[in-house]
Amino acid sequence: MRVTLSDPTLLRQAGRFVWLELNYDNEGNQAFLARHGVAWTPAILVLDPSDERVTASRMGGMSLSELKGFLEEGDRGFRSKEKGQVAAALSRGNAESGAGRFAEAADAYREAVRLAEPRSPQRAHATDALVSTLQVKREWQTCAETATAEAPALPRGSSFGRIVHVGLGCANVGEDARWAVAARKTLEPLAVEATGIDGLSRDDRFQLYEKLMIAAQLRNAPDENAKWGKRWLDDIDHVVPSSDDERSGLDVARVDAVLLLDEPALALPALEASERAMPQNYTASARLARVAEAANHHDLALAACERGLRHVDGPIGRTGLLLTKASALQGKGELSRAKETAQLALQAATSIPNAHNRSNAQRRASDFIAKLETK
Amino acid sequence: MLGQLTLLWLTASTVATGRDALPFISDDFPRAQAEARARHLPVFVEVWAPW
Repeated sequence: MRVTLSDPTLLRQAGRFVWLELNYDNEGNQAFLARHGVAWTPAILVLDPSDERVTASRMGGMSLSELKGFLEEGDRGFRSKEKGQVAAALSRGNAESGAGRFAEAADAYREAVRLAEPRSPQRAHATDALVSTLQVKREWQTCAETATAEAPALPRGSSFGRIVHVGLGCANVGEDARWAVAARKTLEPLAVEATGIDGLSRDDRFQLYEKLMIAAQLRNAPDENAKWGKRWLDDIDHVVPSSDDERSGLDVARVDAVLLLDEPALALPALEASERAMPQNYTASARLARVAEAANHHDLALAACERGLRHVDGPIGRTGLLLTKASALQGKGELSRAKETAQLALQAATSIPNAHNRSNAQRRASDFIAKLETK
Repeated sequence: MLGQLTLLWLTASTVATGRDALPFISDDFPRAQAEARARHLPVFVEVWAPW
């Protein structure tokens, strides 16, 4: 997303908005994030400064053309000149979603879907917003079934791609449940089709690969899993990153791909090169450590953890590095040092500002310690 | 949730980029809100994470 925001053609938009960037980890931003229900990054909002009414919102990355459309939507909503019923329902959904009221947002998006012409771009846009909101609400079955019912007839564009990967992701969560298997039967071929859509953002394409890999694993199709994993890695390897942010984003995807392939060692050369290219960036060390540990290269993982811990600047990163270090120590048979390190991770986790992330990190550290104590 | 954060982030360094030039305010919503009210503009908010 940060790469998209660096495109020079956006300079023409500079005077249309006041531009604000908020670091998710910054404690001073937590009240804003809680008020608007922001649970992950990237999250993009356009809001009216008079009452914080959200006029456009998107959880996840966007291609440049999608971002330009999003800016138009946000500006239109701000100027409140929209007349159409569908647009009004969408605008209401955006405002509810931006305020963290996801049940009300889903109702408004559902109404927008109902009002929109079948097969229209508006219907695709409304369905995209609805399934994403259902995913946020963890309503996996409704999310998968909505995508299954709507996607086949929708125009093939970026909204279609997102509906399919979000719906398939929800179906994957349902694992072997009958509704989940039925949804995957419709959504998997559509996801394959969506990988060929021009203009799809890189993020959406990578999400499609990931969901296709998980779906393949769920039906015990290792060849399919390997096919999508190799294609994903091939796509990643064909990008020459032009900034550290882009390099990091590609590495995040690389890690996901090799872990789903269950071939972590494949990513080690690229992750080592990234760490050398970004020596002050703890996240590069953290990714190398995590993948080295997954490949049972405990000494490599430990060394990367130590380098990362010298540069880490927040409790989320510190907790993650300490847990990876504890795991590597355990792998080397150094159980008492592993336990001490996990306790440091537990302590670091208490400083994570976001309650949901804090609770997850504390549980991971506590579970690790409990398992060590049973040995 | 698997992959929810699988999220992604031009070549001559002499070329100004949008991010170089878009006047982003960092981590100060009250300032952005006050400026937007004064200029009658909407606020564009990007929430990002260093990890």
